[in-house]
Amino acid sequence: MNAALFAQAVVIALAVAWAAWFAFRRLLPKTYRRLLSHAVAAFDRPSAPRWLREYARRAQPTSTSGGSCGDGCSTCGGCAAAAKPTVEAQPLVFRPRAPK
Amino acid sequence: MNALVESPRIALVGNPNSGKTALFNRLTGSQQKVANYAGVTVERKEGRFVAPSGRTLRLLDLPGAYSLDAASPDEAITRDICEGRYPGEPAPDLIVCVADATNLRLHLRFVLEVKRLGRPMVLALNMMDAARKRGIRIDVAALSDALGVPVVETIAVQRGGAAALVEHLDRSVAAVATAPSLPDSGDAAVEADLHAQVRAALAAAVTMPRATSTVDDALDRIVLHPIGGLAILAAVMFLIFQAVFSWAAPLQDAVGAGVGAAGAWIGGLLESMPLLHSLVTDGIFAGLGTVLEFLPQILILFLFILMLEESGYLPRAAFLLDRLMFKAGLTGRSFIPLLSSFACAIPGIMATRSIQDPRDRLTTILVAPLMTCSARLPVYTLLIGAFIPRQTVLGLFNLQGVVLFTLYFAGIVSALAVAWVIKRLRRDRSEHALLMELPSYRLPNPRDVAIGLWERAKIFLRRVTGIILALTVLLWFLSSFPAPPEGATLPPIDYSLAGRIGRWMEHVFAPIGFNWQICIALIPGLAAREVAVSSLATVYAMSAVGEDAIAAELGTAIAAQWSLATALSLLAWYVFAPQCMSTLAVIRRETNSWRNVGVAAGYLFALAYLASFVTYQIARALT
Ligand SMILES: Nc1nc2c(ncn2[C@@H]2O[C@H](COP(=O)(O)OP(=O)(O)OP(=O)(O)O)[C@@H](O)[C@H]2O)c(=O)[nH]1
Ligand SMILES: [Mg+2]
Repeated sequence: MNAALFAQAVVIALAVAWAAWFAFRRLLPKTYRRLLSHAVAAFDRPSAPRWLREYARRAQPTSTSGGSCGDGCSTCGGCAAAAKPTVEAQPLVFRPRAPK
Repeated sequence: MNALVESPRIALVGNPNSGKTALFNRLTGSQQKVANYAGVTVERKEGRFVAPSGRTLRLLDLPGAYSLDAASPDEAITRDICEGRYPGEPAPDLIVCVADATNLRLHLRFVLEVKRLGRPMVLALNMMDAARKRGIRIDVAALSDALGVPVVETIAVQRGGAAALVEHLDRSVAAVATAPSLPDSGDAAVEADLHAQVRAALAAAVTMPRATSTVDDALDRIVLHPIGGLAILAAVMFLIFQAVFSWAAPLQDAVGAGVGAAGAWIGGLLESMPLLHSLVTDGIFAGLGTVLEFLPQILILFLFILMLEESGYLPRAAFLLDRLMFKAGLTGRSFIPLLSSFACAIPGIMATRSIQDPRDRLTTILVAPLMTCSARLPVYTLLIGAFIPRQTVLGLFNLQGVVLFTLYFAGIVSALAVAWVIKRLRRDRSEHALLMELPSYRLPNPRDVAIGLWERAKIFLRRVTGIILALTVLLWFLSSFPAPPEGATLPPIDYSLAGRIGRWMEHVFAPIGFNWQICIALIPGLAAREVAVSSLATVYAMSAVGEDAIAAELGTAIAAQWSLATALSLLAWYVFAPQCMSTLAVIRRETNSWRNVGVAAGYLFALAYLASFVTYQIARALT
């Protein structure tokens, strides 16, 4: 295999890996988050090196990272609400009024 | 982080359409959706801003409510937060009750109800500009005395229009932090007659030349006319679809030419690397470029939607169609959720939260995916552009626009038909009353419309550079590998994984006229409808061999290779098919049931297959 072909293969492998990761994260956000927290738990151990733990903690998915569905098509869970300052949205839970 | 948790929390409450979200946006600088009808906000939104004293305040924007006796899911959230019973959320430190100064007769009732909660509060008299224009004079001090709460004037849609409110908040949260909340003054005799109190407050502080606005009354006489009104509605809809085609065409051609030139230039640079060249030109440029061309059309559609939303015309249209919709088993309240579904079914389904009756709400949710969402526009216009000639009919109408209008219309009619069937199945004979507020007419502010369009463009571009790009790259990969064997004669895609899957699916879809290229595009199209277009572009770019490869333009390629019957069948498919997983996910979340998801997906697929089958067979027999 010559160098040019190898370089192409590397670029394509990276692009495809990115695409697969992105599509997975976007289409199965809950599964993605669950897997990510498992991974974080696995790396963030006392025996792990400091930098790795630090990194794992930063990758920890936050519960508020899901955006609002009111913001438009397919923004669900993908990105936060379209706003400069942070605006958090919570889906609403209907609870009937408790009998007095 | 801790400082934020401790910073005072202020909740915006009030009647629907009083301008709470406009105030929220003014104070926090965010861009939440504001529109001129009741029931826009259906979620709790939180933002923060820094007051002049340097204190950070947290602001909650809540759904509008007519009363604290919640009748619909969106009102319930407001009630729970005000009463401090929302899970994981203490009661707000201060309540800002927003009232429309032109509509105090209605809005003061809710103000008094909130006051009975006995929490620190302030009344924001919003829309003072409109009130002044109508000659309404309000003595703020007298109103404050009569109600027993502080009152400030605001104009949420003007720069600096909330300065007095900010100043008041800044001062009073400092006081609230130390003082305990006011004792509940809810004395039973006073509670009994909110109306008398409202009347007394109005008599003491407000002079109104007329109860209603003359402009509104004059316009309503025309717009709500039983026949003339419907004619106006039809004309408005028709104009929109004409415009989507005729205005967008030059812009679309310009975008297409730009993308084509860029693709050719980059393709030239990569000439020596065949694999990368294919990824960039057949995958990214053919795929994304084709979708990008539809940006002008989507923006024109949204230009109209935004202007209609702000004008106050939509609730009137709902009023006009109420009888028809009731016959079909929906209510006038379903109108606005269904109309929002023209942008996207997701906010449409969310907007059903303002429907009180749970069964009406479910019916509306189930038929919302039949409304033609903006992501279907690229598919429609691609096919119409390729198969319907650009000609004028009856000397006036653009034929392509007429076909587009028909497709939208088919969606609407089938939604009504499905709702009617659901009503029959439920044997539902509920009585019917539409109580709906008709807001004042308002001229859309060009700046707000421009911002709204810009937000739309950003959402679209984010989709193009995000999920659509990712799926296009994946599809390119699946269409390129495994590589063809030595001495292969067909284009490489025929030997690839995607090619094989497409050929296999073709057996199922042959009766409705889909070839294997369409079958391939249907799968990634499930993630986002526009991806069907980018996928077709990629698949056709890759199946072109030799001479044809130069004619990579998708429209030209399919016009040459598909029969008219196939094109019409695909159009029919897209009117019905639930080609969007996000919509199904939202149905699951909003109805909290997988069964409803199954019902929706099942009936939509069945309808899609049936409609395509009939269309294909008839068209083939005729052509
Ligand atoms: N003229 C004028 N219009 C205003 C003002 N404040 C808000 N509006 C308009 O009033 C309409 C309703 O504003 P929203 O902020 O969406 O109202 P809301 O209270 O959030 O409504 P819901 O979310 O449905 O409860 C919009 O058309 C605004 O442009 C104001 O001070 N003056
Ligand atoms: Mg609002």
